[in-house]
Amino acid sequence: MKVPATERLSRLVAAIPWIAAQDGAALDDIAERFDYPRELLVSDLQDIVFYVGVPPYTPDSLIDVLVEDERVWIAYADWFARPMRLSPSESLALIAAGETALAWEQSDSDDETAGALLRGLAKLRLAVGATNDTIDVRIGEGTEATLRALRQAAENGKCADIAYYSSGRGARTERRIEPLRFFLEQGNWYVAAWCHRSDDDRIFRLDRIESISVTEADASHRSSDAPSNFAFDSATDVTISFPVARARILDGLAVTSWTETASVATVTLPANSSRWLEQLMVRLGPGSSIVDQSGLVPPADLRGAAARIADRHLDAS
Amino acid sequence: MNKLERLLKLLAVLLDTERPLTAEELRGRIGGYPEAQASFRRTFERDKDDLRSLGIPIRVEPVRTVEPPIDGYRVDREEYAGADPGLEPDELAALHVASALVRLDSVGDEAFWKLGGVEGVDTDAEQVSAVATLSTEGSAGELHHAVTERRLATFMYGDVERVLEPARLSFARGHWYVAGFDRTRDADRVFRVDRIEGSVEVGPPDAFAAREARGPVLTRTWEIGDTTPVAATVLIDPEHAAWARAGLAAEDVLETTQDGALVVRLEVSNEDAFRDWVLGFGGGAEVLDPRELRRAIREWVEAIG
Repeated sequence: MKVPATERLSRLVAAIPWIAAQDGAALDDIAERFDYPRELLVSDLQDIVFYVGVPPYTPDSLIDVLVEDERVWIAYADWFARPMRLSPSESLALIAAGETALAWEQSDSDDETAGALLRGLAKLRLAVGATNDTIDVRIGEGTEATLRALRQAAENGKCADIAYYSSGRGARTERRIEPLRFFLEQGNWYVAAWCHRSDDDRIFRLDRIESISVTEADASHRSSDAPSNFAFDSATDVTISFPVARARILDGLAVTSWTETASVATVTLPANSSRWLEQLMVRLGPGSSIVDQSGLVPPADLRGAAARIADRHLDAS
Repeated sequence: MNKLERLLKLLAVLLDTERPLTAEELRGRIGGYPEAQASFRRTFERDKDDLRSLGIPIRVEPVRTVEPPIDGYRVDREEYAGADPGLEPDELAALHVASALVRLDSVGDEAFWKLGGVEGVDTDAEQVSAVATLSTEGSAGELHHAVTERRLATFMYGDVERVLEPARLSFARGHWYVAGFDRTRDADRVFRVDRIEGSVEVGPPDAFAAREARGPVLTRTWEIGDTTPVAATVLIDPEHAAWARAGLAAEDVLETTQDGALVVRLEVSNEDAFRDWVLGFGGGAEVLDPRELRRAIREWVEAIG
């Protein structure tokens, strides 16, 4: 197996200080920790690292490597005494990942790994100078209690009754659901669930669940039944066009296809309902139009929706 | 001499030296470079690029012992190595599991090697399904550097060059935001990082005094703007009230009517974002005041279709 020199170098500059700090590190352990093929590790240590040093290349200015009984000792590696600093994007990504995982683990009432994660995260933040005030990661803000309740229902195989808000469908519905799987998208928690009201799989955004109570009723579906892709299966594709400058209004929406000229974007995306599409088009505003909504029943009435809002904003009030 | 050995020796010498060394000095100390001058230069340049591609900060400084001064190279040990977080094995393993849970696009195994490597964690075997994706692409890494070391960040935003004293980098609602004092506008500002145009230029450390970061409440997009704030009142119909309330502070709500509708007051400094928020309720919200914002909504919807 050929491993390029730069990849071996990035492993070695991390492995050398680690090995030097141990009293005889096991070859197998080093190979696993640093993802270093064992044969290559032994030959790189003996045939290369052993000859690395600085002028005058006397024994005390060369790295001392001893490989014996499946173990390695390294000494005099002063210039490599400490590993490289994490890059700013690495440390930021680790902090963000840690905070996200923490939000997930802390929503499980009897999780024990959260303690280690909490300590590790605090140490990492301290080492890179990132306080909670300067690097502030908010995951599923405001939905902690809902997530905990839903996970508890899922774990115990119970149904949950929720009040769910959906502006596109015209507000609030009461539903009994069986939570199956959770995921985070765009900073919001979602649950894929069996919905008794729809008699089908549905996806719910946790911040739109206005109230929840876990019932004693047993769930009839298992998490293994949850669809592996979380598409809204009741949605149908529609095509719209709008001034490209307003593209940010579509942030966070799943899009099937996207083409754009200098001024106009033409986009195909799944629409849940005609109300949802009307609302999106009203936000996209003047210069936008529905190109194809043949799959949507009933069709969106954009003029009607716009006229209703205009009427509410007449000057005479 | 093979390439790995040459790179390791080059790095050792660059870390060891107190003063910048010229290419010729490095050639003499390391050995193993090609004889011919042109091919030495080529190999040496490639070696420098390779080290830099791993994130090794090679400094270029003038060597003044020759006249005229020429470029010399060294690696500052403090710049190269960071503070060791001193993670215990279980803490490191927990972070490793976290990175698997969160399908990161910008952190690879290299980050974990720097922390001592990860042992015996099988992230597949644990009941870890990737529950989240999270992006730290773009300029978030640069701004993290700027925030934690109080470096000025210069970038284009909304067609204006900003010179920012960044105070806080926040991840909320799926996006990164940077808040701080905008020297260009002489006021506190919040910017969405993925809307920064082009790259962020980061200055030297400790460039400004730490100050209280204005806590950006990031769901309040109508406050993220450059215009003089205008107070607006909005009526929200009962069926949208709970959702609206969840995104607002208690003091925003002026009144709850008997049927459950809300009257809220907002400070608007971004009219586009305000309109988008109002229209996000479908026809379920009405701007009461001021007249100009009310008319702006009407003119917007009248021009549709």
